[in-house]
Amino acid sequence: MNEYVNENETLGLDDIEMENTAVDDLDTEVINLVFLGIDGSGSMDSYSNDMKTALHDFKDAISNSKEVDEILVARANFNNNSIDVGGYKKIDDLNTDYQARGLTPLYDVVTEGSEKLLSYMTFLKEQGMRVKAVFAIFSDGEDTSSRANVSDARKKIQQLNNQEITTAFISFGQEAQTEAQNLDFKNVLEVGSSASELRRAFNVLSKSVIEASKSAVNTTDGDFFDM
Amino acid sequence: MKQLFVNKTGLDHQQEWKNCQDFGFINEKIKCVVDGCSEGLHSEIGAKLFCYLFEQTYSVDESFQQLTALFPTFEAMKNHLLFTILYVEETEETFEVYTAGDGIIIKEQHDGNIEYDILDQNNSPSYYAYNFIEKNYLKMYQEGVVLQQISYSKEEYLNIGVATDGLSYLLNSLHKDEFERLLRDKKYNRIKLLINKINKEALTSVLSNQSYVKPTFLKDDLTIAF
Repeated sequence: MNEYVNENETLGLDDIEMENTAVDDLDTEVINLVFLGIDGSGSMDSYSNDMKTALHDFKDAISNSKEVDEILVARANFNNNSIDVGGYKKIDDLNTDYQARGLTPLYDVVTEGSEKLLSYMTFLKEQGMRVKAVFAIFSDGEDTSSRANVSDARKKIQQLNNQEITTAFISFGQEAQTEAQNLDFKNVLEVGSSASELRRAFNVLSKSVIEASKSAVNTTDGDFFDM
Repeated sequence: MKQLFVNKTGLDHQQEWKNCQDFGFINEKIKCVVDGCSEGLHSEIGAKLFCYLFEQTYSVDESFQQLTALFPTFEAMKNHLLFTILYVEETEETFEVYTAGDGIIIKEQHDGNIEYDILDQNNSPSYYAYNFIEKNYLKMYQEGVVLQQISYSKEEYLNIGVATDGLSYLLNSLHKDEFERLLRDKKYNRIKLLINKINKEALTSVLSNQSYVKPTFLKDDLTIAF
């Protein structure tokens, strides 16, 4: 007879709490979920070090804010032919490493990322938490390798918009801006393709996330990036 | 022993955009809760100031001397200083509870069983501030208010805590057992979430008109120090 006992079952944790942050590890009734999808395709390769710095600064800004205990961040990387959507964790756990290679499966990360966001958000609400969320994508170009199509991804973004989740897209250069509009992101920030603009983008993002966390309701009408 | 402190604004005050009129504090010496009178315009200010002073002086009288210097007139006292006081001090052999006004004493036995002593004063709490108000303004308690002392033996009880009367809504709900489990485990945030859940379920039930029993809302502010 197999006497193996799953430690997580012993703790009474659901799978969703294992993948994200368990409710018992939260000290607040109000939580702000931040999905951060980062384009890691080959075209970003020359900015790898700048991206690491920008992610480090983003982490610092959130860590030093008063709202830090109310913010959970999920980082998703999309590059080559794969996507990697992480769970919603405290900012201390945010990995600031970065590598760029291959293609841009943007629609896939939007599809899987939004499903995971909605799933965890629903779970937290069922536990009695008040939840707000930001779904943010950083990308420099058009989708080149998704299994999902633009229509699938747009429906997901519209679903988030309908649930009053802030959808935000940082277009690193002009190429991705059309993609953001086609996908129906409500907030689009276009920055130039340079190291300083990349750092500025993440600086604006961290400030916007902190401001959004302070407000009583989600920012859904396009003023998320207004600083 | 691990401690638990919960301070939560009730549904009524949330809906009216009012401040929580309960307050309290907990430290190694004292567990204290206070409940501001809803008829006072700014009871929460006096309640919070009292806790701040009491945590430094550990003297109710001394704290009130300072408060009445800030709020010396009848109107100022009525609007700021009417709040109940309930606190526990530990000695080697006992838990000593002191009270002026209503509230609930939470008693945990060594086997984990939890019981309550309800201090009910028929909606006329004996506010300690009455000692500083001119007698001709008072219909009750003209003889003054003295802190009542109740002693609980450590042989009989593992822990004694105090709560404002907002706890009665939770104790009368279907979620009493769940509350007690969270209380024993000292899961303070889970207690807040439980209250949110109960209110949300009650609201959903009212809006969908599907309820055959009257839904329970947790309306009152609640503070627990356990």
